[in-house]
Amino acid sequence: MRSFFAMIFAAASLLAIAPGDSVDAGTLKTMGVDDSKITIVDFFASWCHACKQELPHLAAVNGKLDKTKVDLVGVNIDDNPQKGAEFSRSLGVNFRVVYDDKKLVAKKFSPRGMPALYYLKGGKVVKTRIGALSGIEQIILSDIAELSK
Amino acid sequence: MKKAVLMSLAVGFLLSGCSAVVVQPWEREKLSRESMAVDGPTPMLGSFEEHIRSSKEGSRGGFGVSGGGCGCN
Repeated sequence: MRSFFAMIFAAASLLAIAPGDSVDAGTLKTMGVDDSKITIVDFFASWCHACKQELPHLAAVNGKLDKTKVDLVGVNIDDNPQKGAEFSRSLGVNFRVVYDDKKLVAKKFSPRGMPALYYLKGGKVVKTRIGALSGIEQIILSDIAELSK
Repeated sequence: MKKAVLMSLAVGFLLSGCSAVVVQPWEREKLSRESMAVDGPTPMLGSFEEHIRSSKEGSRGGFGVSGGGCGCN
């Protein structure tokens, strides 16, 4: 029985996008990704308490990013986009948010947890940060510095 | 005998059907609602109900768990 569950989870993780994987053109278009920039994609929802903690830090880090080289896009996966918009507004989200109420983008990426950060470069995922992390502002800035080399 | 084995296998298969469902992280909105919590949307209500029950029935206990053995309770 244990191996059966292990197989199910292994199959689920195989579907998840990992560093090195390409993202299809349709999904990139939906998120409005500019291929010439490094794009940070953040999956969040109003029911995710860790996202609530993380989003103000992302808004703060967005102010420190060089917009000519880096873009930050949020993907809200609330069933009700209006609820997602109110949530984003209440937390001072100052970056572009894509409302994925049909979960089309989320299914493509299949994040293992929430919140989930994906770094895209040239249409490919180059790095991921899954789950709530302390010191996320510094983590993002050092990730960007590393990826810009 | 063969029929009984087949029947038990079928029942086992049917009962394990729901256990194979994996809720993905982006599908947890309904599960994260307060009304889905084990204690319901108002966890304090349980202690009031227990108080009413003990007053009416004249008996108490048998609910929840006791201390964790740390000696602090």
